[in-house]
Amino acid sequence: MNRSLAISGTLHAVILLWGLIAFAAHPTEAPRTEGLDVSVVSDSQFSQLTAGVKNAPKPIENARPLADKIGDRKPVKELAPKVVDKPEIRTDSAPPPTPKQEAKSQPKAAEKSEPKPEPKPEPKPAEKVEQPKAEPKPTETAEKPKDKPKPDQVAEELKKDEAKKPPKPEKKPHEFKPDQIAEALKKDEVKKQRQTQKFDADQVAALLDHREPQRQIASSDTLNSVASLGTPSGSAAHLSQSEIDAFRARLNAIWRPPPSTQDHPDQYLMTVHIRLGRDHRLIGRPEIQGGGAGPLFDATRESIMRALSQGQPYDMLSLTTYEVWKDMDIDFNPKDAFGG
Amino acid sequence: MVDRSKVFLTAPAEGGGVGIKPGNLDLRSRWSARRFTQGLSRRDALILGGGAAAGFAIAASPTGAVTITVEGNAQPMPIAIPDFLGGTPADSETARGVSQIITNNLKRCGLFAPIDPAAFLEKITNADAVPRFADWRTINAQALAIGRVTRQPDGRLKAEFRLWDVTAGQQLAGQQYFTTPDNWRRIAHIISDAIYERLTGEKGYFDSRIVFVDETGPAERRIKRLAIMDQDGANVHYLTRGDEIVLTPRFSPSTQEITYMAYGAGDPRVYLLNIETGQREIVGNFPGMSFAPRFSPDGQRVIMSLQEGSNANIFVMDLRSKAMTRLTESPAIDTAPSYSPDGARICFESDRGGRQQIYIMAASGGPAQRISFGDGSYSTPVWSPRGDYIAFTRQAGGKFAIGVMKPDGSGERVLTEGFHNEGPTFAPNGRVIMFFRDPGGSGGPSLYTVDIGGRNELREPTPSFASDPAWSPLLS
Repeated sequence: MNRSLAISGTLHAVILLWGLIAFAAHPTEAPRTEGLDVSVVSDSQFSQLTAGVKNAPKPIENARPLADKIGDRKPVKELAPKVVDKPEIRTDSAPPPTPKQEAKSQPKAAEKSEPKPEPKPEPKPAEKVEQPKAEPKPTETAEKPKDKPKPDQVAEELKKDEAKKPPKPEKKPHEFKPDQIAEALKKDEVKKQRQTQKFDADQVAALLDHREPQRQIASSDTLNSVASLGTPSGSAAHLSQSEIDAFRARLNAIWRPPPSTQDHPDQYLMTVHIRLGRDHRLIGRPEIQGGGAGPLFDATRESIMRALSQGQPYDMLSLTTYEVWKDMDIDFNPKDAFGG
Repeated sequence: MVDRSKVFLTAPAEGGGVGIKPGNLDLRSRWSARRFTQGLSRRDALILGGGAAAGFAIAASPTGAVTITVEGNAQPMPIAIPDFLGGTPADSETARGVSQIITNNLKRCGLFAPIDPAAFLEKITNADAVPRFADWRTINAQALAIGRVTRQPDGRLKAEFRLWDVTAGQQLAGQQYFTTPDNWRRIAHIISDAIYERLTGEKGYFDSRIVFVDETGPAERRIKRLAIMDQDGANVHYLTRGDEIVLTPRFSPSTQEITYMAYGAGDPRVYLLNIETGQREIVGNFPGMSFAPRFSPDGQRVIMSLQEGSNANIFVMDLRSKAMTRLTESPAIDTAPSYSPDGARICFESDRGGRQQIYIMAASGGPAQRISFGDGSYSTPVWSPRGDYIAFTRQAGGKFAIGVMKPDGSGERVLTEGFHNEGPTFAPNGRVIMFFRDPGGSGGPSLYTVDIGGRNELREPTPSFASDPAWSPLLS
């Protein structure tokens, strides 16, 4: 009795202890979310902003192609030859280097006179084939260019034929083979399954069209279900929210409007046009618009000039968006400076 | 007195300093043209910006430029005030005192943040040279005040100062003053006002004084004396001996006179006191008690309450003709009248509607309009010298609050609230209110200041307990 009590007690204690540790209150680590400033803009203003992306919910900065499934990464084909291919250029005096490699036993001296060098076009296909993406046939890689100059050799002839077969290596019909096989296999399986299925009237689902979708699904290394609207063509770059926020925050932090502007803040709302250089500094004198005459207006203008001057350099604005921020209109509105 | 022969100090020539009145701020004419051409679309952009009150708007403006709204902040402006230089070694103590008073004034007003002199990089050795602005920008100073105090051969003191805009690198103000040596504190206050005015665009209030009731002794046998001091608590002088109770002193706006209520053996009476000669006289000769006096803005009349049985009504007396005019006639207690700065209207408190509330009527009397409708009772209204607000004491829920409202009764806001706050009085520029606060218990009342936004509440230094403050107009 005592023993079982002890065991029970110990176990309970262990569970309690474990619970204390396991369920110990962790400090809530709610991620800090920054409020997003929202401004209401009209259609025309918005279209001006987005320059052609009217229908997009927001300007798409990195437009990506639609991708339905994740596929193998395929290297990009180079459509133009690399400049590096120099060594393959042959001259009459120097025999092409290829024969040496392929048919070392054969005398080249006799052929020297004969060769029909076609130096320019050949490097291209060679290059393309060489690239690792194209699941290359090992035979093609080095031999193609070499084949043509020596038509007389039997071995070479054979290879030539092979090389001719794929006249445009870009096609790469062979690449799809494994996939196609897999597809075919799958289709067979599906067919088999379908055949084996017994018809059941209750299974309405079975009546549905089970054919494989005909559409070729696009694949990419990442999934992207959103069809791109393309990049805006009108203005190349957009000021990012954070850039503007940082710019505004700097001015907000250093602009100290005279306190009396509080009494009639509307009168002291001033718009300043500034121009910025690529060094993130003011070009010329900011042009202040608004306000009237009098010491308080003067003091307000001076406070704005001080803030604009003191805030330099505005290095939170990135040079890639220079075209956007080189000219800015800034409204200096003291209404909320004193928190009401 | 301070010789007001202000000489405008132009900026020193070296260093390309710019004088105070270059046309560089005179952008108005240029602007108006552009403004008209862009008027409408500009307006749209502004509306757009205004719509994002708490945030900002980014939009394409008519010029194709990005538009951003900046709201600024109420942080005090960093200002550097190096010790003023002494023209001779003997003057350096006074010079240092002047700069310290300026520093203290600007700091207490809450709009400036004087920078600790330990941070200064440049040691000012010549008050006429252009300072090295880069050194002052490094320590984030936005303004720099440099000055010099020199004793003249005739014994007078010459004080001069220049105010520099560090960011723009140009002189904002430069003046010099002459005075007798014992007036050196006033020089400091005048310079403080000049700096304040130049940087905020409105008049200062440093060259002013406070009259108040000084209270000493135990609570049951409190001695109350009329006292006067500078706005910063210095130069305290006692105006009465303390053998009678004094209340509600008020400054004359134009002369060196104070009106107040006092009672010793007899009825409470309203007195006039010349603070320079010490002469005092009773205002009028009435059968009952008279109280709550206040000068009219032109200083020619005193408005006050006269007891009539169990009621009190408001009268005004012309100080020259001694003619008395009745302004209210109600079966209630009408008291605490205060003129609007233009002298056209009067605000006062009355319990004609039951509880005490604030009413406004024409300066000639006639029908009054109630403007206070909040909870509790409202008393001691006082009109701001700027005319934009009426300050009051509000009693509600067992607490006394000091607040302001616009003369039409709108925009009421409480600046401070507590066990007992009472008796607001405006600084000459209408931006600061002084009042007295009694914490209760065995202690006594003290004077406090708060700005009309409810910020920067500070205790006013007084030698002992103090109540019933009244702020003078600017002395100069």
